[in-house]
Amino acid sequence: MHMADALISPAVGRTMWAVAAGALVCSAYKVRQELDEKKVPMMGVLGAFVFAAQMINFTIPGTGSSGHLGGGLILAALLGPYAAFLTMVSILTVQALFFADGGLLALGCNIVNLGWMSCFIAYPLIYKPFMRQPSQRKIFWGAMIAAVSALQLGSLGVVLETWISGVSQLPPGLFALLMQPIHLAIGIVEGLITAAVISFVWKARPEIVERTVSGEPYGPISLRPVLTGLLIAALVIGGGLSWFASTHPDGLEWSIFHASGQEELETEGGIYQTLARWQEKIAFLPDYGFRQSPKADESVQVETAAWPSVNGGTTVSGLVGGALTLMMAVILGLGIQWCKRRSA
Amino acid sequence: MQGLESAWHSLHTIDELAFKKSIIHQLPSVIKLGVTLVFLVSVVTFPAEDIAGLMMMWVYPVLMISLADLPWLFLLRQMMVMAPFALMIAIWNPWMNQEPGLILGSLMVTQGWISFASIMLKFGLTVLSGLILIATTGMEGVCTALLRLKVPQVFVTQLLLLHRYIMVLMDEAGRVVRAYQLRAISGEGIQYRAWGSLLGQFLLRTMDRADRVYLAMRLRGFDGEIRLLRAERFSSASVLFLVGWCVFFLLARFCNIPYLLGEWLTGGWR
Repeated sequence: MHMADALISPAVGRTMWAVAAGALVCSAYKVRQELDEKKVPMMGVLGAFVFAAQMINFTIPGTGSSGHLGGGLILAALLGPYAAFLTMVSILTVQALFFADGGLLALGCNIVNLGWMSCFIAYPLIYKPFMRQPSQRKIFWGAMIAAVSALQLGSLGVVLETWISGVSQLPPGLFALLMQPIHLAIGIVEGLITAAVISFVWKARPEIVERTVSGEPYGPISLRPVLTGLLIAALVIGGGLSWFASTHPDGLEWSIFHASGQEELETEGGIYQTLARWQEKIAFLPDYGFRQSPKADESVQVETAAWPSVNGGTTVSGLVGGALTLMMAVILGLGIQWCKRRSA
Repeated sequence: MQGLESAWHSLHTIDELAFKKSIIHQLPSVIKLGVTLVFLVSVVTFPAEDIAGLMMMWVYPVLMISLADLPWLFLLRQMMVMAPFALMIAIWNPWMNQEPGLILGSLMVTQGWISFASIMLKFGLTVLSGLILIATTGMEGVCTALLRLKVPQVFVTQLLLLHRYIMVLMDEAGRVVRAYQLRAISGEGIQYRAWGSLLGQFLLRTMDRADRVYLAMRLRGFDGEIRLLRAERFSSASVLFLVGWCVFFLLARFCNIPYLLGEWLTGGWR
């Protein structure tokens, strides 16, 4: 479920980065404030545990396939939400850097989808209420429902972020229809693994599970990271959208043309014009990508401007130039290696 | 995610690559992180139809890999492992958009296929640049850069500890799974009845290990912070490296050099 850089727009990447960074700073503050030095190596080693455990195949009964552990909820159950969030972020960072599993620009999206949802939504709202007076059955259902909902929210996040980015032209409804059921199945398996592990730990060493739920390690959960995240998202979305438009001059020109094409706006100027331009940009957003069938005359103009290459001659120039550039890049690389080998 | 063994191999190889001594390896980590981020943003903002322009961006990975003496095949293999995920989402574009995008004689390529190619090219570029960053900087380098950028110390410590223990715990997970498989009757995966006990035992052992690690760290004077040696110097060459690449990315992004080159070359033909 890790999103790649190639599938998101910078605006979405930046917004999600800001949300993730806000929650990260908040969690770091909270962990630092109630720092129990012993938790520092515990977070590191448990992070490595989740990393390794994610690679173990668990055979799903009755089918030939296998499931995996997600990890966010187990970490929250053992470390509390703040330390678990920091640990999840570190896991996702290592996955992005070493395994190219999710890109660096998309890291914010992945942190929100896979870490934030399980630590700050599923854990406090679903898992924790189940654990007030833990019993075998409550642990099972708490872990199960929390894991399934965290994954459902996460995959919904992927759908929304992909749709708003506009790089993939898959309609959001269809994409959601593909994503949600698959992640329901994955979530159930993940929930079963999580429930099995937490039950086992509870039987073997009940104090580990109960201590975390009673809020001992890091105090009761506050809504601060959730609210900070949402606030930053709201603030950045505006800036994000304007940047988005400026990176696609045709979109900006199109919206400016619309905005300034109306006389009243020109005379009123100032804030109204800015607002109108914003509105145009926002309205343009879902249609970004390649707008399908042009409806009005202006759209036809934009359409042809955005696609200058429906012309044999220019196409050939682009292809020849592109191929040549790539060839030159490769020759340059080979040349450097040859020179190095000679001098060595 | 890859299997335990291949993941272990990848991590180990990248850690070793980071110890090389090329001119790229010697640059300050924060400069390399900055260049990588500017590169990523430039690549992602390329319009979908500008595939020729995107070709110019390949100069960066090619040059960096050559200068840093990184193994081509290894990086390409790492990239290919993740390609199916991008492919799964990009492959829908040709179906969703069948408007003509490019006409080559009698051959018509739809906008969907062009944006598909654009996504895959961008995927290759972004993945390679991330791998180049970590293979030339290493985890400690990246953490030094993060500290310079005022990322909270708790998180950087967490990242360093995680990186140090991943190899240890992957070894251990490998042993646990091998021990299970030697005793199990059928199949590679863990059967349902053993899910909780296998992972639970492994988890408890991990937590005991964390306690021992903590005691060992305390004995050596650990106070909640891991100190990194920050001896990186900003030479004029490193600033030139940063500025040079940024100018190049902007040029590549806003002037379609390959297209101009192609037009110049095919000018007579047209």
